[in-house]
Amino acid sequence: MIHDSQHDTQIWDAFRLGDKNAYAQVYELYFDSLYSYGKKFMSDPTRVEDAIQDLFITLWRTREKLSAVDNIKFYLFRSLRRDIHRISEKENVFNKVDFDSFLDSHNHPAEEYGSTDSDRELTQKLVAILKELPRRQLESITLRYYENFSIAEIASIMDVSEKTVRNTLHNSLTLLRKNSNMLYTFLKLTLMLWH
Amino acid sequence: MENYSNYKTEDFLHDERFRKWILSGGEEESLFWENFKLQFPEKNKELILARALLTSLSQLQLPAEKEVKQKIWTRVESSIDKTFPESEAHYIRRPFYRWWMAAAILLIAGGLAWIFRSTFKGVPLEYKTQVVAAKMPLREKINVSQAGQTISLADGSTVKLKPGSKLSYSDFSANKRVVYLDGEGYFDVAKNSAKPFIVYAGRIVVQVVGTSFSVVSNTGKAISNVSVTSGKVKVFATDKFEESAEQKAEQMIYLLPNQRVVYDARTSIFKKGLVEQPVQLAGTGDPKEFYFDNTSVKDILGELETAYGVNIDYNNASLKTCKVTAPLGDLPLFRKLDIICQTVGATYEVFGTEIVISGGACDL
Repeated sequence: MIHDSQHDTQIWDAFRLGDKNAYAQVYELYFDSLYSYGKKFMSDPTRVEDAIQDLFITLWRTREKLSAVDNIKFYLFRSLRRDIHRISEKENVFNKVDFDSFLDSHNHPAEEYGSTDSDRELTQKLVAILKELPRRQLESITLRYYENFSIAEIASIMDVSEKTVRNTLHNSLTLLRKNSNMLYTFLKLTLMLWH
Repeated sequence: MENYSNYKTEDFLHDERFRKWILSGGEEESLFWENFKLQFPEKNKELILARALLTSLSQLQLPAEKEVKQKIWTRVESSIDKTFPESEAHYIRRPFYRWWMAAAILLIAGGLAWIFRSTFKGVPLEYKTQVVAAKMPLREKINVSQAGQTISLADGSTVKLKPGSKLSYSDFSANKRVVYLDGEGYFDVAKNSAKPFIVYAGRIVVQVVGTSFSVVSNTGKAISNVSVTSGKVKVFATDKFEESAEQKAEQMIYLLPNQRVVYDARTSIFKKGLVEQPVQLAGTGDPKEFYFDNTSVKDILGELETAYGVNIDYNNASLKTCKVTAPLGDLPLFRKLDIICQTVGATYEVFGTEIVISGGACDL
């Protein structure tokens, strides 16, 4: 989705003035990505649900005091992460997510397009590598390449320096590229042998 | 045009067209990227990695179960409603209604869920959510066959469902007979004035006592319509309808046999007219009796008005006494009118529920 800051500003301003429909629209637009993001910190779904619920209730109650925002998704991600971090610090755990049980039970539409076996194989390999990455590394990659946030925004969401984000991304991408190259060459070889 | 020759994996990942292609599961923009592969074969490796990375990241997403979104919203909503005293809540609602109107254009343009608007006002506006919000246990029938399917309800009423249509209904033990329709259905409702029969059909609601009529209302389509075969029918916009309260006359459309109303949810406008093929009302004689021998046009039109329950106006007084012989038989109403008008050189038009005949002369 192209981020339209003017559109965001309008909705946010209407919401701050108490427009419930603008508020509902914010919820409608961002619930799914917030849930998926929160789920990576807390494996218990009810805790994620509670965190999002509290986030939105607080938003409404404090709406008059909120500042202008031109990227709502960024604002929500940062708030949710801070909330979750606060809760987790109290309990001293950042739960590790069990991706495997999840992946087994879900089919993703993104797999369906006319991809060849080698594409699928590469994707599978990357999924395996990504899952093994340190949590914060996977988080920055997801925020950057899946959620399409800028480096500055990611730094602010994760509460680290931009330099750290840049390095983390660079390292992970190098690792992925290396694996992809290996697989790519390997596949090419097999193809050549076959034909 | 982007400068694709310098594109690296990262650039693809931030490219709007690329993201659309991958995140739509290859349904959108695929032509563009197939061409791209041919045009920039040297980018193939970067493209493959970008595609695999975005796909695997999307596979690592942990989406909520479907009903969770609505569940949390309901909780959020009830919680924020409690924080406002009655008067304040009333006060804030007014000015923001106008805001909503402005936002409405955005909502339509963005194709966003309408249900959120309705959750503030009571009844949801879509079959799916209406069924979920229903207070009584419902049974659902979906016509998956290629032909019409007739469903018999507990009170003796029947509903003929068109293929692909859905109907949800209870055992009618409550004080109202409420059903929910998505698609197209022909209703033959058993008379019971103590228990009104209410059809929720997306953006419109139909209320009757005992009659037959058809309803067309498909989820996602702005246009719905109701056509009446017999009896009297009231039609409402769902967002103006309150099951328990007396409805104000200006908020309902009152339909008689052979009338129909088309509702456009985009403009909230009801347009009343005649059905395409009016049928002869029950209890008005045999269709074979429409053999007019040397009868005045006035009498013929009068008989047609009674038989079909329509209003026919004509401004040419000379037609009154003009006598014609016309074996009209069981031809459809509009064919009958064609023949009469041709005979006397007149024309007719349908304005809403009125048929108006103009011109013509009786010099035969």
